[in-house]
Amino acid sequence: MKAVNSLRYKEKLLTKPERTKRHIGFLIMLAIYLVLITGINQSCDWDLLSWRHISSFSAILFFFISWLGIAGGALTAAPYSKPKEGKESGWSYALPVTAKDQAKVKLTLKLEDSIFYLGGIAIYSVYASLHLEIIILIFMLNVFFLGFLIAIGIEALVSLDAYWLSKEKLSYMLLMILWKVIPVVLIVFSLRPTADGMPLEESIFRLSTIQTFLLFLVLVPAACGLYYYAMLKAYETRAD
Amino acid sequence: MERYENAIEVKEITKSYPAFCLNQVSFTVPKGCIMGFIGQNGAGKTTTLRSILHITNIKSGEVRMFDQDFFENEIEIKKRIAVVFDETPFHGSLTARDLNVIFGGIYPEWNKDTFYSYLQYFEIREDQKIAAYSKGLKMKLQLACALSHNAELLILDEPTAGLDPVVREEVLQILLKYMEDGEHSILMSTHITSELDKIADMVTLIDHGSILFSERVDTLLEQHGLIKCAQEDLNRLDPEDIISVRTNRFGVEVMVKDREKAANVMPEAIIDRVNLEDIMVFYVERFRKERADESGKLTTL
Repeated sequence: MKAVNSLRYKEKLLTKPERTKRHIGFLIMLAIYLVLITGINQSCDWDLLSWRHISSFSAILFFFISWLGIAGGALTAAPYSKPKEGKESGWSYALPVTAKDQAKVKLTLKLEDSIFYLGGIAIYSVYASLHLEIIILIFMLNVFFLGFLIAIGIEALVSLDAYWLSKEKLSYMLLMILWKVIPVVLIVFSLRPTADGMPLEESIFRLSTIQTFLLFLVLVPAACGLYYYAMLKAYETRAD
Repeated sequence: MERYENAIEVKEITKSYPAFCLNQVSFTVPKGCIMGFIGQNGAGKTTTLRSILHITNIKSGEVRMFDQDFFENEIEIKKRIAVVFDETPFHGSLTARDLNVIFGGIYPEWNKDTFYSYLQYFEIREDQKIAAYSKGLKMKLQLACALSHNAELLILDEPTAGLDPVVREEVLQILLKYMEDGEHSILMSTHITSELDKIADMVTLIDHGSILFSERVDTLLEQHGLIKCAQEDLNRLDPEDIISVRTNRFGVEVMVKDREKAANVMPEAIIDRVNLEDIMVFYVERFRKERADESGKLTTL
């Protein structure tokens, strides 16, 4: 445990500048998001606005988040989490630490980082719930988290891919494309006319409930497990 | 201290690259011994050390440290050894103070006081970023780390390459001090053989991934000799004793591995003493000729 703490200390020191930039990017994004919500709220007549319009707004906002995230350092970034070839890993291998210790450090750092983002999103949630319909909020947050967690999973795959197949750049592109595609697919899905005449509001609510279950019962453990496994494999891999 | 006979036993390590391979590398570093691991640049020194430390995978072979299988007891053994690389592996944004915290958690026997006393001795500022250190300071910092957790075995990869003579001498003195109690061992790769003349007990020569010899330094220096004679006098020497021959306009220079025997057959000849550099150069030349002959035969076939 002492070794894990030491490694975490080292990782934190090494990634501090990168993490700070990402956090600042996230906070700027959050601030813009809050301003936009206020703007929407003040300029829209909710009685006249249809669910379809609101969902379209959401789509625009998600695109905006997505681009800003990338510009500001992205919410999750594979180069940050992936064990780097070269000096640091060489050093690690000569130390009496296991691949498990190192993978554990990466996962705990990732979760610690997520707490920061969750804190930010919590602020957004409280603010948004005061101004928007709660159902839209649940929907948007779900999509937001889903994308975030899937991105972690993909990041793990990127790491595996980078180490096993050396297709690093291709994997990053895939990550970015999926990061953009997932929210859009979900929004399009939510805009489908309901076959049984169920009100759209009810439909979105059900979708949100399913997403919530998926997120916390399946996706969170799966993403964390995959991420840990990817890091373990990366650290177990020796240079040839 | 645990009782063991050999600090390192390397048995028939093999590793292949497209243009290079380690060919059944074997040698032993006895406890309490400074082993110099010599060879030209690209001879396979670093690859061997990386293989021994499991930084890179090997194709076959066995590594034992402190009489234990290294690959089976890697973590426990690594707690008892220290490694110094030719280039600092510490990230430039860290400071010596950070390293103290990091290593303090990783090595059970880390001694903060020893570390800080080395920092003081080496005049290393604990709060300065490593990126700002000179090459000599970086090497001294690595040594300070290596010597602060009571490691029984020190593995050094070209520790003095690129250092000025004053710092090099300092490093050698520190290594000698480390060896004083007879409980420690050192495996040190270098191509600067003059250093090993001063401190090494044994030396292993590698060339093109093959071990040419692994022998005690005093035996090597005592037995080998360099004879300057005429070409026709070569026939008087036992071919088995000849390491390699160099021709010049005055005659030949021949290195023999048994100077006493050579003195008996050529009593009139002056047989000069050799140093490790001479030995390394002549052995490598011989190995090259043999390789060239072999490839010539293959081409003819």
